[in-house]
Amino acid sequence: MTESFLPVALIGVPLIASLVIFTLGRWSQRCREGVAVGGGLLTLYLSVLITRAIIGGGVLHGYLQTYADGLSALVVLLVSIVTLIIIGYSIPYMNRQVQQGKTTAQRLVIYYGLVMLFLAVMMWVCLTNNMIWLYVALEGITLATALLVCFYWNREGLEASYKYLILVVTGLCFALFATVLLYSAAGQYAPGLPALMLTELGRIIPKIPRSINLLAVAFFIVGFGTKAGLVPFHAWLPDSHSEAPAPISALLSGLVIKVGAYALARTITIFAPHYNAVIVFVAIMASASMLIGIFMAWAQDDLKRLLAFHSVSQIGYVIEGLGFGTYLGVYGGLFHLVNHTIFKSLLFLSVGAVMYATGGLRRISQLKGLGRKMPITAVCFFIGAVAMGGLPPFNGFWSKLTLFMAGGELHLWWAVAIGMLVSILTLGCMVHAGYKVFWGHPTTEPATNPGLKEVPAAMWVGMGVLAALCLIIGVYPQLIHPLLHRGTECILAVYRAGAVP
Amino acid sequence: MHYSPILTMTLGALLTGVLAAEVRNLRVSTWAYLVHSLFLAATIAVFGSVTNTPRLYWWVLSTVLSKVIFIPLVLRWYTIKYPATELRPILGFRVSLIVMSVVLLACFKLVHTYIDFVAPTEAATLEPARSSLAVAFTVFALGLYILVTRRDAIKNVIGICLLENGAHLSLVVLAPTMPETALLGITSSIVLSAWMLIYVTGGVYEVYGGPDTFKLSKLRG
Repeated sequence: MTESFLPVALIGVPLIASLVIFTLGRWSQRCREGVAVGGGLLTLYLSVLITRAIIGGGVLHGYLQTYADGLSALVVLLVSIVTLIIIGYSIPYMNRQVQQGKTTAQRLVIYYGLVMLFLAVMMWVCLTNNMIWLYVALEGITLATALLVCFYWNREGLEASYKYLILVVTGLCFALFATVLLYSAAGQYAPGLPALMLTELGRIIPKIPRSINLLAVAFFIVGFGTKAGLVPFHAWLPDSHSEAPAPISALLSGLVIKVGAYALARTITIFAPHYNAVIVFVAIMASASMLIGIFMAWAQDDLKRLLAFHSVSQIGYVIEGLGFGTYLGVYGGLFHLVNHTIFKSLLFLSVGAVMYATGGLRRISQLKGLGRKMPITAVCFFIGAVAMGGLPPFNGFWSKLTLFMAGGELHLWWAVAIGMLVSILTLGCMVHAGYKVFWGHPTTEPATNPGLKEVPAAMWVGMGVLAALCLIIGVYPQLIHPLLHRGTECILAVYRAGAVP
Repeated sequence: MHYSPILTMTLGALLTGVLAAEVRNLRVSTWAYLVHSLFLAATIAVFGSVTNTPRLYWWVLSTVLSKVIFIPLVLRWYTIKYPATELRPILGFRVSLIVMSVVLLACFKLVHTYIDFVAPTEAATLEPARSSLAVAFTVFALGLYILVTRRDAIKNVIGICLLENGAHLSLVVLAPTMPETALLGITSSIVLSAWMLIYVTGGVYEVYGGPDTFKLSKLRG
């Protein structure tokens, strides 16, 4: 274990950028955009440094109980890349919103300031080794994003933000309860062990009575499951993901629900191998999430809402894999976490591009034949759609295949069957939506509007990068294997530390 | 020796919590919440004295600053700016009283019959920790009950605050040795979430013309 300033620097850089934007951003548009892009780039650079230090097998720790292992490096790198793309995309998108009178230039200070604050708190979640700080940081993410959800300060946004706050704050209280239970029990049954350390959970759990462990598991699932948007704690997700500005929807669906999954990976995955009932229970909840999410998605006419329900469905795959607690399961869960972040961000940004070009239209029934005038957006949307549907040669195929193999290894064939069914339904739903919006001859407005054209390069370059990642990881999955392997090994090492040989 | 004061204060916290939940005048409800938080702070202070844990006095200080001063001040600002009468709840006072009595009895039954299942330490199985735990669970349930049955947005904020106070009391009973930094983090996040909720509730009032959460149904389906 090496002491390093990098974990603290990674939290500090976006935090400072956020403070600079809040204090100086009102004076100059270039200042707030420049600081956001600069802060995002510097954060990405530091993430790469951390990943390089860790990929060879190292572990970093620093002030404030910060800690970076393989799993942290994986998520930190992912968050940095996606957030930087979203910041770049936001510049033309939000300026257009100002031109259309949906917001004011002054309010963009709050927008960029909160995005950077969000990035700082995301980094904190990924780099803390303390369960209480994990809870506090998750609350911080909720608070930073709640104001972004109601950024337009309209009826829909405020409704979504209110529900988001009430449900997630309540849910996280359960996670706090679970943490307190474990801390308290560790004081009696595992004296001398640092009870709040996530990396010590593996040694603490076997010493604590079964009833307390199972109660803690239940509370963690409610708490972090709410943050992850798992059924039946998902009610906030479709509203907030659909009503936020499009770049923020990408942030929420691509990253925010993943921190819930990350927190579950750090906790439930350590419990799962000790209790078979946890594996089955998590698999049931994850399968319910997949099914309800996909059925609700089929019923949607609003593109953003459709994607939000797909997030409910897809997070089921991630949680199921993490709940399996085996190497293959955790590997598949993490792999799908990465892939879902990439293709869901891509899909939300593509829908944002459609809204940008059409003046805010997002209902499938209002759109037709846009592909001819927006070819890049159309291609990006279809790549995201088939990747999410699990079609080769795109990235979603490999992660789903890994998860099905992990389910088969545990003889949970019913879970595998549900996963396959949902995958087929997802593919059908997404291709159907894409066909309706982009395919065919433009015969009606807005496709016939001569002013309709492809979005600016600052928007489609980011989408192109994400689409390319879908294809590159699909064709050459070995590219990401070292990080996934290190992440999986880090989780399993925590479990093995307390396992009976 | 300290058994009786702790129980008196936790029961005081429970009764004022019920008052905060049931009173229709939001200004009185805010005062009831303030007194409830004072009882909570006093309970923590006595726990600190009983268990000889000086660090609990920091908890007392943070509870007073955040829950006795800050949150009631923000609630007060809201109830001065907007009408102070709560919208009619789904369930009336009598039904609430029955439900809360059942919850209280169930929580006491739980900690007196199945204490080994919920209490992670030996100390928590003894009085007064055991009964305080029952009160903590009841206050938590009271918060959840408010969220489910009240249509007034500001009453829901009070519900969230009570829910967090229930969690806070259980924290004191179960983990009095938790580091001060962790406590500081928890308190700040609780205060910020309450403030944020009140801020968004103000927006709901402005845009919807009232605090009726039943009108927040534009996004169903």
